[in-house]
Amino acid sequence: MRMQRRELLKAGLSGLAGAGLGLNGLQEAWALGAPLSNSFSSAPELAPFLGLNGQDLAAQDLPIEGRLPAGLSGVYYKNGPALMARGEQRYQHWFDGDGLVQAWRFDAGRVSHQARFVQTAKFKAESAAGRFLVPAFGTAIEPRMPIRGADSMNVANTSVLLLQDKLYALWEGGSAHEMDPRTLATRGLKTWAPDLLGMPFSAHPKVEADGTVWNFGTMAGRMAIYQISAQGQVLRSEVFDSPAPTAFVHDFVVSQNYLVFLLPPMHLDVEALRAGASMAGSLRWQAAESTKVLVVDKADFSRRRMLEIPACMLFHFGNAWDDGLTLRLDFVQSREMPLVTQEFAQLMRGERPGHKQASRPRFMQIDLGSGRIELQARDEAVEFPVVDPRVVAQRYRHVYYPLALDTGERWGFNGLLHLDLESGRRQRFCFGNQVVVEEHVMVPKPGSSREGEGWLLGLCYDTQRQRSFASVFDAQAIGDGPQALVWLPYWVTYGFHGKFYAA
Amino acid sequence: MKKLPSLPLVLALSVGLMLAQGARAADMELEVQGVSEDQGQLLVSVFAEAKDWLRKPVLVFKALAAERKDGKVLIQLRNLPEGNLALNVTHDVNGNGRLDMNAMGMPTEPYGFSNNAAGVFGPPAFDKAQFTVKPGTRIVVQLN
Repeated sequence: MRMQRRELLKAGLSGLAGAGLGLNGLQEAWALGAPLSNSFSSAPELAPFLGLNGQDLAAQDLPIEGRLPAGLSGVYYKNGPALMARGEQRYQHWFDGDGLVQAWRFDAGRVSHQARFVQTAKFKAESAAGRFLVPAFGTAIEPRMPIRGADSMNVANTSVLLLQDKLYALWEGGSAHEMDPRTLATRGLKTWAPDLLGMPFSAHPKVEADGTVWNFGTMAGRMAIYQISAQGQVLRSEVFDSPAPTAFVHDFVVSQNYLVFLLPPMHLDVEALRAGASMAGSLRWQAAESTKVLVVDKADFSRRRMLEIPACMLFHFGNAWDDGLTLRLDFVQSREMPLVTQEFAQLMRGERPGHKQASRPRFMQIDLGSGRIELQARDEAVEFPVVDPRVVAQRYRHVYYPLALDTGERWGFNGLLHLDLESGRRQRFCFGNQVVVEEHVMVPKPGSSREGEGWLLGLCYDTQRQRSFASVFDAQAIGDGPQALVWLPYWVTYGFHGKFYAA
Repeated sequence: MKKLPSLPLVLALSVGLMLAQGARAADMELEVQGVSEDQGQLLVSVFAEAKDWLRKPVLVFKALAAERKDGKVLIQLRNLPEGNLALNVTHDVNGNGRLDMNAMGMPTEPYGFSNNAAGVFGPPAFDKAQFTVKPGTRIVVQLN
């Protein structure tokens, strides 16, 4: 059975009776002492930015609308910033919140939910103190406890990675945190090798079909690249001075033969930082400069080539592939960082950003011989691109995104977009403006081998019912609407990135 | 066997240092908190001027981390020159005589500063760590 938009709206309206739970959430925010501006009530899609209070959540036997695909069995882990205020103080940037890792467990048609805060050193110390103690990325806080390095400020809030029987909560500025994938108990900081103690390990590792993990880290003009085996052993790592500013490098992309980084022209104003500004508040966009395209040879990290494109800001890539002559990749271009930071500050206050979010799909083709770059653009409003995990670093044709379609004044995405890069066809689905749509991952159908055969699975928030839910689509027919919705008896904060691991 | 400098030489050097700083000197006590393991040594470097901060100490002291009780180690700071000083403490866990850093230049061993001064994305300035020498008193540094 597929659910159509009208049925979804009906489900939403009937759920108004359940709004009491959402109100509890608001009361909770009051109890935290967080200043609650009227704007949160006039922008109901922003309510999750109020944050959770640091308590873990769990619910069993979640109600399912529609029919879950029989083969969907495994765990969907998702990470995101969730604790936004302590005492009188509220974070001013979405990236600042302490990481909450969710596990949605799909088992023989039954679904359970668990969400636990990553027990970082920061979270534990601040929970005990009842206030924030260390600076956050976008909120300047005078250190109130000794700081050794980036890991003293690690919020472990951006993504997850499962390797063998270890789940990692990822953050880009410092170490991964190891967690128990069954209980979500935090085990501590992960050091991949003795000489990599405390090194930044980005939240966007790329995992190839054979299990090889590629990742990177940047700090103060230096870059590190890591190649890790499916068993979690570091095969190679290299640290080098970046040929261009690395003040904000969030993601990278991998093809058969190359690692590709786009380095936006952003500088860190160290004077501003020392004078008390936050890290985000000290980033300076250099519109006259170019975005550097750093192409690193996978076989020899010392073989690096730098190309350039006009200044452009981005967070996320979809995928890349090359045939030795031409390298193709896709990414989502966003508004430049200082503007994004202002928008996040508004969201955290419960205000709709004045400027509409305008991140768009981009496609790049690099002639590896001449170094000539061609860029193509589309104008759908999207973010959080994903591809079929079976085609990472290989030739691919399908990309999936959350999509904003006629959202009017409202913030956030309300639908999904599937682009077929070979045929040029697109498929869309829109939940309507009552629903906020987050990243949806592509889950291959067991037994299938063709790219695109599988489901899209992700989280959404119903602004009227004030509850979060998971939605499941047939990835080859998203226009038909979701096959199933799985409802939580509460709401959770918006997350950033998740991964599905089949049972 | 390691060759130790002769006692007369050490004495001569110490006297020279004291003379250089003026005849008056004072003793204080340093309580290092948050010593989390027995391994290695605590290195204390004392600085008298901003221009020498974290570069040229006027005095250094050492203690074994194994002396810790409840995570605390007491170190006698003898013959401190009078006036304003600042110090830093490193828990040199692997005993190589310095604060280890990773390839990004991020410290990987515990350290701390007088006044528990904390820097933002780098060490604190000399004046934030500055304290006035008061004979017979104790200062406390919490390691990170």
